[in-house]
Amino acid sequence: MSQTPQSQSESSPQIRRAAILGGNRIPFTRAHREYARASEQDMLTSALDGLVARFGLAGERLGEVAGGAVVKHSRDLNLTREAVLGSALAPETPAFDLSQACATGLETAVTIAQKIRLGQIEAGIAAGVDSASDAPITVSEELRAALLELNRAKTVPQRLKAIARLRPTDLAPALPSNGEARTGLAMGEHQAITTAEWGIGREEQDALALASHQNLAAAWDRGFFDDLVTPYLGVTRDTNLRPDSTLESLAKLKPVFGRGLSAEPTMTAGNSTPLTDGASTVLLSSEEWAAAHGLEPLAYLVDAEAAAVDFVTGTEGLLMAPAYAVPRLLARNGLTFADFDVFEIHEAFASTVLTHLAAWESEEFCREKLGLDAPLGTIDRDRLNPNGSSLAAGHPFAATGGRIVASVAKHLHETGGTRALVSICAAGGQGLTAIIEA
Amino acid sequence: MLRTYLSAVGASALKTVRPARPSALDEVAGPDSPQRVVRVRADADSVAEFDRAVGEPVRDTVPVTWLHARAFGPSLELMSARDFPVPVVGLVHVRNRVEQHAPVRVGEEVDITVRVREIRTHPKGAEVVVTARFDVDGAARVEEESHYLAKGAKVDGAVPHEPEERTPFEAPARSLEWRMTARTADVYARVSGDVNPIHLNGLAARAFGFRGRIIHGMYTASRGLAAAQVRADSFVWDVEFATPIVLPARVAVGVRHDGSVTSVDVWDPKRGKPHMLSSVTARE
Repeated sequence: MSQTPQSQSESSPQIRRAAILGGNRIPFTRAHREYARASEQDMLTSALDGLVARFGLAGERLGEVAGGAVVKHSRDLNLTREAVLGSALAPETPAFDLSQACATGLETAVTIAQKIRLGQIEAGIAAGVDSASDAPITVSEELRAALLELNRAKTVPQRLKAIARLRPTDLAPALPSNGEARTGLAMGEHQAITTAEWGIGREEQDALALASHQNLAAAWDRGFFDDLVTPYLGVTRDTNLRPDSTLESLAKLKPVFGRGLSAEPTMTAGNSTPLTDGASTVLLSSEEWAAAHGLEPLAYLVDAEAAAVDFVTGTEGLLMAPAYAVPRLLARNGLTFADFDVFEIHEAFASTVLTHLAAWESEEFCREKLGLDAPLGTIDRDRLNPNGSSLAAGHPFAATGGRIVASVAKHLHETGGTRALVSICAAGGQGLTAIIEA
Repeated sequence: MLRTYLSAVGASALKTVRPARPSALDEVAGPDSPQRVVRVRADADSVAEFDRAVGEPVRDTVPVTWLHARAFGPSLELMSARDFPVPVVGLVHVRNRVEQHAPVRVGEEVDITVRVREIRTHPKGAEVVVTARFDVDGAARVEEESHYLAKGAKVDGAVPHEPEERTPFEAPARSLEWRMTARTADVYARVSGDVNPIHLNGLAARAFGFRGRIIHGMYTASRGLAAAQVRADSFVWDVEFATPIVLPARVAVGVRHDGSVTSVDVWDPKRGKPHMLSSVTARE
């Protein structure tokens, strides 16, 4: 087993470790239910305040808060800063938004960790929020263009010309689309192509979904989330969780994606994540700051690697980027799968996780796509998502990274494990992966 | 352009009453036939509106598809000539080939020369070949060849021509999905100036034997060229139109890169029938 490379710290002596001290999230709910009338800013503020309360940070000025949301109102240009201003943190705490689709939450943690490692800040919060309920509704492109034209018009004839092009159908509002911008295909349809290419079966997808529900339910039951989640609007547990799910009940669901493909469709609402509302936060700091505040680090965010694939031409599947990021991350750190105690692979769809596992086991994929001499190997299922993942908890896009980082840090601390791999796939053919060490 | 269409309809109707003189073919097609020369400025706003309608990035160069739209009016006028042997209304765009030597830049003055190069035989009627040259400061930047089929027409003196083999089609892997509505045709009509009623009016479309309004073939082609994302200054772009797309529609699109060639195929995902096959070959 090898250590984090020393070369960086030799050439830059001021690089330090970025500790994960803990996290707080609100329970995740299915869209248009309990949080339907809360805004993203409301949910993020609540998650921040829960973190502030848990760690006694009221009135404290932190180095920086990084946050983001995937589906965002245009008026929320400063979403995270506004949430900080509404929270119990000192109003002198700066904040910024970033965006990397479903990798947003993990990217905020990576970014805050890097600032701590470089000595730019002592402590910071990584956050993410998404509401599929309080979605931005926009006007049609035609109406928007006409209104802008009208705004630019200086004369009456110009104004009339701007309006004259409108038709009644242009007045219909536009909802955010779940389609990929460049391909027009829904993410599930993209994944259905990949699922079929890799021959991932219905039973193994349902089995993974079932394990997710069972693991998350068990974690809730043993109080694992007691210091990771604060109730919100009367909700005390993730509402997508179905502890009574069975393979039989999952097998009854009708396929919803891939129905136009020649292969048998296998992806159902049970083995795909639902639209979800939620927010999460993670507190990170230097070891000095943690010690000064009497806080014990749960784990450290050590390294991260992003990857992207060409999905537009179908060269690679939309959600396959993590399959490329992980081997690069392992190589840079001189690690193999055997060096990890736990693997947190975001369950966008059960088949996404299963294709990643299959890819790393495939000699052909590892040789031809990754340029490796041998397959990366098999991941022990007992080490995979031990406290459940997105299929059970739900997936409020930007909040998923924070849920995973805080949970896996606590898991390492609790079990005495030494190292965890985190992997999140994202729209746009991207993926972000990270190593967390005790 | 609406006026051009109206006179085209008039000219076409007249031809059913008074057929064109067969001896006059070389007066409407070929090297001695009249050509149309127009000068247009690649106006930044006009190009940008077009870009956004077909999915091209708004930038300093002008897509060849915008140029095509500027040459289309003059070509309609030529084909509406009194002695033109086939009615222009009902012509079907079947092929298009564009060769770009260098891109036209936004703000440049473009001299467009349009001519009917020939009228040739086709197994299903007669085929009209229209050429357009786009010059800036006397140098050709872009050259285009558009092929239109006059179904069922017999033209005496048509140049004998062996038809090109239709590219056999087997649906490739779908990489994109495009949705088109009646508004898509409205918008394309506005930015291109092509107000042919078969695209804009359901009754007119039915009168011509379609199930409803069909999208402009050149809209599909333009969007395909945009999807190919070819960034070479010099390229050849070939388009073959198969079946029309009746609106509203959801079509499957396959984009493949193979060396310097990018192909973009559009088909009906339910029937597996192609709408458009195209390829761009970069030259560098």
